[in-house]
Amino acid sequence: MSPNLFVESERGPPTLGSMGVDRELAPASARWPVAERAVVERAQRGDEAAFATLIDRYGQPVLSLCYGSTLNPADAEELAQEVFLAAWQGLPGFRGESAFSTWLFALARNACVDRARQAAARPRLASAYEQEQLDRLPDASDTTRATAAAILAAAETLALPLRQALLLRDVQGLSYEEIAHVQGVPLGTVRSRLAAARAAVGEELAR
Amino acid sequence: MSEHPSDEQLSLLIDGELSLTARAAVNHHLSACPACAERHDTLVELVAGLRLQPPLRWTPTLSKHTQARLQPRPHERDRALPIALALAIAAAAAAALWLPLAIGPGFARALFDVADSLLPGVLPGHTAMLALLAAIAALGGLAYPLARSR
Repeated sequence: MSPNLFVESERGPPTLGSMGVDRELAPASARWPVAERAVVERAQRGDEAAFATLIDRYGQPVLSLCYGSTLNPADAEELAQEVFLAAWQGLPGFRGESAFSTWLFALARNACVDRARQAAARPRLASAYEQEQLDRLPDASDTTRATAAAILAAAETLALPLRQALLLRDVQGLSYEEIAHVQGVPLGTVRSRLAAARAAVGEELAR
Repeated sequence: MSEHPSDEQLSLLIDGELSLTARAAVNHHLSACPACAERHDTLVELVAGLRLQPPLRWTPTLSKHTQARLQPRPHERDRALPIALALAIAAAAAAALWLPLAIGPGFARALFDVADSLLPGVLPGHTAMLALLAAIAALGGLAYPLARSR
């Protein structure tokens, strides 16, 4: 079993000084090796152990992207699993014209779009949503928990690409390069999406 | 820096993604512009609030659950099986239709004679055609169970 190549750094409490980019992170290219053709080909031929290697390698970024879409841990875990199940079935059709990760992330983005459409058609109860967020901060004060929940509730109003960029960066701790890879966009787009997302959430909270 | 920094510049400043020169210019502006300093502080609080959320982690348990849900994928040979079966059935049906032509006179034989007169030399003899179709049916019929057993 290969090591998980996508484990974010542990972050300490957020302070002004610690808000710089995570310098200890390796470049995206080192985390998502392109030279994995043999593993992918084995998985294409039906080797479940080889596919398990790919699940371990890309589970974290796919889950992070899904979390940016659903903003709900349980839904994100379910959606990420569905992405891998779809990838397994669709893998024989993968022609290797791009890196496997590029293909997988595109699959994940499409799944997130579909899920967001379904969620828009069936909005969840706000109280249930907020409670789920509060449950993730068992040790924080009530004020802190409420603030965090309010910020995430405001993030829910963002367009999907902005919301994903915001969650990938500020909750999941991905670097700009990693977000660009997962979202399939240039670095400049990541910068503008993050700035727009933060500004919009700030305005939403100020209301 | 005389102009007010953009949202993107403030965002990059918070993430430590500005160059040294740009960072110095923006910080210099913030020290002299209360409105921009307030925008900056609001963004800092927002990011700090988001970073209070624990990151969601992919766990070995999730890997196991995902692997347990993998469905068998139809293999290439499975897709070829219906073709072999269809070929065997088609050949057997054709042989069954050809049989009356081969074994005796009647309407089918008359039909064949008409077709033979219109296309002289094209149709093979009755016995040869029957043997050919029977061979195709036998090969197709054999290919199917052989492919399944692999």
